[in-house]
Amino acid sequence: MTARNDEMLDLLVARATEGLSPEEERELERLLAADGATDPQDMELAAAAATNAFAAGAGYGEEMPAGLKERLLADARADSDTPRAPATVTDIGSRARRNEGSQQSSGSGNNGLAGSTFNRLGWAAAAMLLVALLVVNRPLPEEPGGADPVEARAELIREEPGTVVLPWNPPDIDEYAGVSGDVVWNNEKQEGYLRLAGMPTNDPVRSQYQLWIVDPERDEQPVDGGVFDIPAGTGEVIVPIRAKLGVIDPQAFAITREQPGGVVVSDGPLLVVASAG
Amino acid sequence: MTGQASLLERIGNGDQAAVAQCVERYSGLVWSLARRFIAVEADAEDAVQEIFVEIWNTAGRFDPSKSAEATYISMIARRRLIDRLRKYRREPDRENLEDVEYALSGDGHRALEASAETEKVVEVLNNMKPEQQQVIRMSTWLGMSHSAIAEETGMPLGTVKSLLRRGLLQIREQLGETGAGDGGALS
Repeated sequence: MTARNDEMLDLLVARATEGLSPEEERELERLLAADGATDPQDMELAAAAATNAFAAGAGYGEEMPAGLKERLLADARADSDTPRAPATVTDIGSRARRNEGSQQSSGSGNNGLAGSTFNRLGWAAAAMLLVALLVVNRPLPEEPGGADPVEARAELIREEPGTVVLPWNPPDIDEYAGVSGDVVWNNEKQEGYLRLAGMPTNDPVRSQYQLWIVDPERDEQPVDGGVFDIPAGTGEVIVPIRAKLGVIDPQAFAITREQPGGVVVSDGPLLVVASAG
Repeated sequence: MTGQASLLERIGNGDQAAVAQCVERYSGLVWSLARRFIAVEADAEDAVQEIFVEIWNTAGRFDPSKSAEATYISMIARRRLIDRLRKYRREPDRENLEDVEYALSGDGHRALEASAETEKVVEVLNNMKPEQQQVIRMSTWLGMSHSAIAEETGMPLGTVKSLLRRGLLQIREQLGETGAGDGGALS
């Protein structure tokens, strides 16, 4: 066994039995991506099987409170109406880039968004997420017309007045320092797209990226913008925004990394942020 | 195993009847695990709701060639409960943990269906040296951290980690319909 394989196995065992710090989690994902042959669930399944063996031996099986069971069934019914599948991520790779350079402004012009400094917005966005506010779900909208996201994004910029293009601010977290791209958003159509290059891949079994839209005009609670994955081997990607609530005056767009399926409450950290102004 | 495995597959395909059956079948297991990790009942109820939502969301990823259905359910539950413990920087409530005697005799399977997989894992555990079985039990059944196990047993931390690692690798070989852990590069 190589030292790297050894380290990877130690981290897999630690994750399965006592959990990992965010730094350890990132290191494990890096090792798994480099290895390519190891099933990341192996040790978690082994630990779960041991748990079940001890549970069976103990005849352990406390009856769940009836009220909780009813709530679970209600959750299940609601969940069936609210698909949590990740947004379709399109790797634009070597595809011809659309002629949008002249329109990729900082969003400070006729963009329909109130002006503000990044620092203030970054702080505001962080504060909103860190206080762990509740976000109300509603059924996800269809992907816009089922169109090719690359084409749909270019068309939105080209043909829809009021469309803003907000570049990602230089990320503060080292692992995300190489991320570039922008957020395209049209408030009237409630349609938008993320363009991301250099975004670290995620293991969807363990975590997914989730977009948050900071809109104080609507509510002090950020709006859930949907979850998405960055598969290994992808380059620059386009991700449709799927806001769960109507957005009035977005001040910032922020990405966090959450448990699979996303969360209704996030405590950050904000990995990548684009702010208006 | 085939009948059990199809339950999560049916949920993955949007079968609402399967969702209700899943709650009926596994509510006792998930609730028991939550109560072992979390002392406050209201917090345990929140955790159980989170766990089942994740089960619905990830049911389509269940692979019967890797494990029995109950093992997958338990894995999701453990993952969420460990996350909670880490978030609140706590060890499981020992009062909740120590009140149940365990025995790997195989005759106490009242709550969990004694799947072939569970029987095989019980056999593996019974064949381990006492100190290794103790470490596996303290970690996977009592939810203790590696350092807490080292402190309680007096073993060096490295020994605890080593016993745990070897034990889990042995158990992994018994999982899934084919039994052999032939899909990975771990050794």
